[in-house]
Amino acid sequence: MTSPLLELREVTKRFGGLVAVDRLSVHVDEGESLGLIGPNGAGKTTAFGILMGEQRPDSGRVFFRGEDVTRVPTHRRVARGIARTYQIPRPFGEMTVLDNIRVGMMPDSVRRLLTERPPEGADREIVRNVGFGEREAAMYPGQLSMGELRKLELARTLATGPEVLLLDEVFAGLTRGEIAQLSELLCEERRRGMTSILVSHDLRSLSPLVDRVVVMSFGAVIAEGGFDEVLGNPLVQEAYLGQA
Amino acid sequence: MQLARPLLGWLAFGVVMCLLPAFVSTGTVRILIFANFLAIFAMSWDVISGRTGYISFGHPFLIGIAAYTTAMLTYHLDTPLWLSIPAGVLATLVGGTLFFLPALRIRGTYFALVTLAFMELMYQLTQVIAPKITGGTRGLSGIPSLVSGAIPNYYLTFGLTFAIGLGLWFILRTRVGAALAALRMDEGAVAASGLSTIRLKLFAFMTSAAVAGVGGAFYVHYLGSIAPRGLFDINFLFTILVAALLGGSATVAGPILGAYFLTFLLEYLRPFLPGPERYVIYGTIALVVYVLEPRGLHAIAHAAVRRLRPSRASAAASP
Ligand SMILES: Nc1ncnc2c1ncn2[C@@H]1O[C@H](COP(=O)(O)OP(=O)(O)OP(=O)(O)O)[C@@H](O)[C@H]1O
Ligand SMILES: [Mg+2]
Repeated sequence: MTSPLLELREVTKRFGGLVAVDRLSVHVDEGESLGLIGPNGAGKTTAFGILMGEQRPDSGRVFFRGEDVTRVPTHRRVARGIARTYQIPRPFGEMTVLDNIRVGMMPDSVRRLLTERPPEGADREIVRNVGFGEREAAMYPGQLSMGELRKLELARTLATGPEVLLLDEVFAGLTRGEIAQLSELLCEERRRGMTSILVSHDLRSLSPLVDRVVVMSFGAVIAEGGFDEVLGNPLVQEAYLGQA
Repeated sequence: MQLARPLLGWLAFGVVMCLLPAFVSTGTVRILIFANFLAIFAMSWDVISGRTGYISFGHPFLIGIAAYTTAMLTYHLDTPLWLSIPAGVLATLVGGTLFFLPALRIRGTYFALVTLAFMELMYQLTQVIAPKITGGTRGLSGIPSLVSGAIPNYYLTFGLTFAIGLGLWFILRTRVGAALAALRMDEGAVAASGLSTIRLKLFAFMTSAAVAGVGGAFYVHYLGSIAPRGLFDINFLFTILVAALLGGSATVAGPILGAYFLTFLLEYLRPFLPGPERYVIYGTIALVVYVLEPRGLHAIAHAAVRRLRPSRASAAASP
C-alpha cells in the first residue's frame, strides 16, 4: 500500500487545560478531496495549523509522502507542496491583489529575490484562473468583498505551486453566486488532480466537492466516510445538535 | 522607463547637492554634514523598522559599536583608517546579529524595549568595562580625521549618503523589498507563502547594521571624539527615528528628506531655544506632519509634484 499524501498521526494539541486536538489521525490520499467538518471549536483550524507547522503538536506526528515532517518549518513545507488558506483571510493589506499573488510566487532565496526578474505572465495567469480581471488585480484587499478575499487567499496559495491545498472555511461569508463561482474553481482544480482538504460549515456546498468526509468533535474523529452515510450517523447529529 | 524617472530624480538630487556648497555659507555646509550623517542613520533605521516593522529603539547601539571600534583602534593602536573603519563596520555586523536574536521570538513593543536595553547596556558598559580603553565616561578625543575642512567633509559625507541611498534603493526595489514589506504586514502569511522569515529578517538586519556601521565609523572620525553620553542618548535615538518617520518610512528618499529637514529645523531653532526645549518643538512639528500625512514629507512632496504636473501622475515608482 502506498502511503497517504498528507497525514496526521495520533496528534494532540493542548492550549492550557483545553485539549484542542485529541489523538487525531487524519489522512488524505493523492488526488483525493477530503471534507473536514465538525462543530465550532472542534479543532479543524488547529489541525491545519499543525499540518502547516504553524503550531507544534504536543505529541503525534505529521507525514508528507510518508516522510516525517513534524519538525519541518512552515516555509519548507510550502516548498514541498503543502499550502493553506485562512479562515479569516490574511492578505497583505498594503499590496495590490497582483502583488499579493507575487509574494506567493517568490522563490525562498534572498539572493534570487535580489537578482532574478519575476517570471512574466505566470502571475496574471493565476489572477485569471481564480476569476479576477485586470481591474481586481490592481485593487487593494480593503476594497474586496469577502468572496474576492477568499479568492485572493486561494490565488496566493495556488501561487506557491501546491500539491495539497488546505482550505479553511472556504464558503464562509460568501453570497450564493460567490459560492457557485468558487465551487466551480475548486472543481477545476480537482479535475487537474489537486489534492485538498476542505473545511466548511456549509455542508450542502461542500458535498459535491469532496470524495470523503471526516467529522471532528472535541478534537477527535467521531465519524468518517461518504457524505450521506456520515450525516446519518447519530453521533454526528448529536455533535452538531449539541452545539446548536 | 520605470527605472528612468526615479534615476533621474537621484541624478538631480546628486547634482543639486554637489553644487550646493558654492551657494551657501561654510556654516550651512557644516550643518549639511550633520544632516548627511543623520540621513545615513535614518536610512539604516528604516531598513529594519520602516520595512519590516521591527521597531528599533537601539540604533545608537549599532552606530556606537562601529564608532567605538574604529575610535579605539586608531587611538590606541594607530591603526590606519582604511583598516579601522572596515573593522568597525564588521564589528557592527556582529552586533547586528545580537540585535537580530530577539527578533526571532518577539516583535512589537517588546522588541523595541529589548533594543533599548541593548543601547542602555552599551552605555553602561563603555563606562564600566576597561575605561582605560574606552575612555570611560569622558570618552576619547583626538581621533584622527579622514579629511579636514568643511567642504571636503561635506563631499565625503554626501558621497556616502548618496551611495548608500542609491544602493538601498536598488536593493529594495527588487522583490526583496516587497518581501520585507509583506513581512511587516503579516509575518505568518509570509511563511505560509513559502518564504523563510528568518532569512529575510536577517538580511534586513545585516543591511541596516552595515549602513549604521559605515555611518558610525565615519561619524566618529569627523567629530574627532567620542563620548558615551552623547552617543547613547535618547535624544539622538529619537532624532533618527523622527527623521525617518517625518520624511516617510519604507522609502529611501523619505529618511534623507526627513534628516535634512530636521537638522535645519533644529539648527534654526537654536538661537531662540538653546536648551532641550527645541526637542519639544520638533516633536510637535513631527506630530503635525504625521497627523497631516502619516506617510511623511516624502508623500507630501510627491503630492505637490503631482499637482504641478498633473499630466504625468506616477508616484508609485518613486525613489
Ligand atoms: N491559540 C489558541 N489559544 C487558546 N485556545 C485556542 C487557540 N486556538 C484554538 N483554541 C481553542 O481550541 C479549540 C479548537 O479551535 P479551532 O479553531 O481549531 O476549532 P475549529 O474547529 O476551527 O472551530 P471553528 O469552526 O469555529 O473555526 C477551541 O476551543 C479554541 O477556542
Ligand atoms: Mg476554524
